[in-house]
Amino acid sequence: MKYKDYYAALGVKREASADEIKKAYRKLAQKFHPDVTKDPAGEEKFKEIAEAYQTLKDPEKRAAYDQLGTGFQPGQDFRPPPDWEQQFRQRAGNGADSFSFDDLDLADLFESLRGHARGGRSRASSMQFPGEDYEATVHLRLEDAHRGTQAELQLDGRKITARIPKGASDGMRLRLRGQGGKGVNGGRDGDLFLNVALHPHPLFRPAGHDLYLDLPLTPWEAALGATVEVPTLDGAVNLKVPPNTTAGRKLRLARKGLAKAGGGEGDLFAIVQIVNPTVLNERERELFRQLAEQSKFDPRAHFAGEGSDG
Amino acid sequence: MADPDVVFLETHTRVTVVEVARCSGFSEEMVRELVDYGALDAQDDMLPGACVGRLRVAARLAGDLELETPAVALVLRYLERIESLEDEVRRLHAQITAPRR
Repeated sequence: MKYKDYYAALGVKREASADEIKKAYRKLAQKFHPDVTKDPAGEEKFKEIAEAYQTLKDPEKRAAYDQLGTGFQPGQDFRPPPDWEQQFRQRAGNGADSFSFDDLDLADLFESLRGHARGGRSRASSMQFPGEDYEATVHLRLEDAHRGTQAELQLDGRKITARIPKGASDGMRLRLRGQGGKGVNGGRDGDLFLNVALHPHPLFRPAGHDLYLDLPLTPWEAALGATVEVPTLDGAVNLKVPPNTTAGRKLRLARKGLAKAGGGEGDLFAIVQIVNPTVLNERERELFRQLAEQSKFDPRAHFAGEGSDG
Repeated sequence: MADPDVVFLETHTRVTVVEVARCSGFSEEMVRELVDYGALDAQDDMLPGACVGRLRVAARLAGDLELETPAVALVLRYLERIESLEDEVRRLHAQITAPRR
């Protein structure tokens, strides 16, 4: 068993009062709670804090912990006093032969102390307990969310294949009934809750079930109008670009977005970008020159009179 | 094809208060209390599926941070607000065009 310094985890002295321990825990828990902090190290830190508090807030468990003394370094392997092992063996009753401190970690030790001392769940109980609910984040490709897919997940070292029907979008949650932990003594199985996160796609940017796509056009396509081929999640379609289309304009392709769970689809919006060629041959340059001479168009007309010189 | 055991928890999915309580880790009584606080919007004893995820977060926070009911109600309101802001950020991001080289 590895020794852990619960007082250090909470940043309090060994002689701290119950109130000081509670205050220290609340302060740290608010800071490191995994549902509050975005820090990926927060979860591990919170577990340490919570484990320390579970033992130190209970006078009985704290007294038992204090009996271990101060002679250990955190992480150091240690064995509790010999009379403890005997006591626990007696409390454990049936199956005591297999009872050993070697199988326990410090948190289990104090948890079992509480269980036996207060008549908690005992081994022989035939009471029904529901299985634990699991929660995990599943990362999906846009195409897979659109069509439905199977996702492989690692939960508590167990491999789970979750079937994800079509209709997922970024940030959405799913409930998979009965796919959590197994129930005990005929209790119902827990559920699996999944948070969906979509991988970035090189072309499509999702918002709910709508998708956004950059649509680069040449200046002449934008000016004269054109029919262009546009990719969608279900293959390319033709899009009619009207004449005099300006940059930034959103051309809507109805129901070409992500599939929705209840049927139907979101829309696809093609955002117009006007792209001029970076390399011009002499003939092209000449045509642009002619256009420059002919055109009266001034895209900066609205600057007039707005400058700092007034 | 559709699997009744796999449900998207969306705003328009309706879930009974009893089922929401079971999914969230709160008691049915607590869920009803949160409805009374106006933190949850129940109609005919049904709640929108989207509240389940928020309730699960709130239940974890309530347990770990020893929160009282009014604080839980406040957490729920803020979580809902964060989610709607995140949706908005996602939509705005999606509309930012990438520069062409």
